[in-house]
Amino acid sequence: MKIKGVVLNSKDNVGVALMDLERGTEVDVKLNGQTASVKLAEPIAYQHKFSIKHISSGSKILKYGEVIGEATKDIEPGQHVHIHNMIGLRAKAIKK
Amino acid sequence: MEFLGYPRKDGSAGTRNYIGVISSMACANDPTNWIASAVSGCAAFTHRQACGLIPPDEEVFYRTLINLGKNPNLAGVLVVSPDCADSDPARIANGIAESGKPVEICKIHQKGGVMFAVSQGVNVVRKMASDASRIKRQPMPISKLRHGVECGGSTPISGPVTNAAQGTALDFVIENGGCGGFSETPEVIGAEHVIAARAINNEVKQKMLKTVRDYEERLQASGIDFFGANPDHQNVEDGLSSIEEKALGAIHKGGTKPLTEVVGYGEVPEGKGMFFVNTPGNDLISVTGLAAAGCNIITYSSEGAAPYGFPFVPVIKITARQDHFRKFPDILDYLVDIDRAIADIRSVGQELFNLMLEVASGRKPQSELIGYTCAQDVWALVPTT
Repeated sequence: MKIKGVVLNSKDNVGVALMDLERGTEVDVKLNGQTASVKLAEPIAYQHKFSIKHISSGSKILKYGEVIGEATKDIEPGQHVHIHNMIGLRAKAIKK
Repeated sequence: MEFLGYPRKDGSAGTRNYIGVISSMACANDPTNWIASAVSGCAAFTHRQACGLIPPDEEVFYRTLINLGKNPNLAGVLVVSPDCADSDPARIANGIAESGKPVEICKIHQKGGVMFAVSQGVNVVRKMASDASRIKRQPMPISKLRHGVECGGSTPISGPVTNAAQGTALDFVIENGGCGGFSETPEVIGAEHVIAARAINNEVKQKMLKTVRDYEERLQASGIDFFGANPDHQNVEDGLSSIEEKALGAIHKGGTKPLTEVVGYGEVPEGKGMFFVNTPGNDLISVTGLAAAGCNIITYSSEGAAPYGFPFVPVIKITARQDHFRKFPDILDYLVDIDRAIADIRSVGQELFNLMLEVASGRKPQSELIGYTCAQDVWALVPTT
């Protein structure tokens, strides 16, 4: 069966969609060797990111086990994570 | 484990056996192409640099042409040059000759005219190609393989899939005694700390950080809004949200081995493991930088299906896009299955490594088959004076 989404590193708080996914889709992701299910709160396009846990505004977004930016709003599990609710730290520093 | 390569006097091994016809200045590009196209087994190298190069570009330019000429995939070299004070073909030829291969100069300003000079050049490379055709491939250890890794057209999936496939193949090259590395400094901005943390010592670490910092400062000084332009519109549409995310994906192509060396453009790394070459992101210029670094095989992941290869180093083009792989059979060489890469990247990297050994031993990738090899140019920081 085609893999729907993946969490690339056990430290991550986002997963990546490996196909276009509709709202309400249950995505099984492996985390620390265990399979957990995330229900998508909105449609997630192929290659885009979805949150796998609650992320408070101002806290770090982790992908590949590394910081890719921080949340600019509170993000709930299953929500789309992109430029509308996160910003890169370099971009933020330049804006200041 | 081994591949079949051409032995060279300096101890290196070619995966190809071309005669290089190298233009010393852009004004000699046409005669360079005429000479190379007249004799089978020749590869022309042309570029846009012309009169008025000033330091530091002059030094970078000459060492790049010299080290391109020294690349083990060339059995001999003809340097084609104008007879003019701005061009110093002897500097190029003498540098290349240190490798022990035959090198000659053809000046296009000669009594009798350009076409007379071209006919003389043709005769020189005809003789060189005849001699080179007698060199036989023989078994070579993987330690003679130098793997250049390139990417173009980043998407969020290219990091963990096609770049990781290349990085894993590079890991296999290094595990088997070979070396290799990647380039494209601006693509690293935002993830330099991750690469630097893999440095074998503090000196290499600081050089990596300085290389990226200098690049970033130069971009800022030139007034370019780098962070406004990166990730670009297409990147954002594809799902990349920050420069950090883009760069962290890009550096997957460097594999997982320690960083042993950082070299400047046109320089040749010692080749003890994984290295980094300072180049711009422009694929033509960065692929040339990898060839000047002595790479005798290149892999190139391109979600945009970049069509070109390099004149004398085989370039294996990789994609994760099934539609592109079906539509562009004469551009792309290897399709990475996304699910398989996510589940077991080692098996994908092993398969790509096996393909590299086949190509190193003579199998031609698509760009080489159709002679689509215009990924060539030399870096200059300053516009010519």
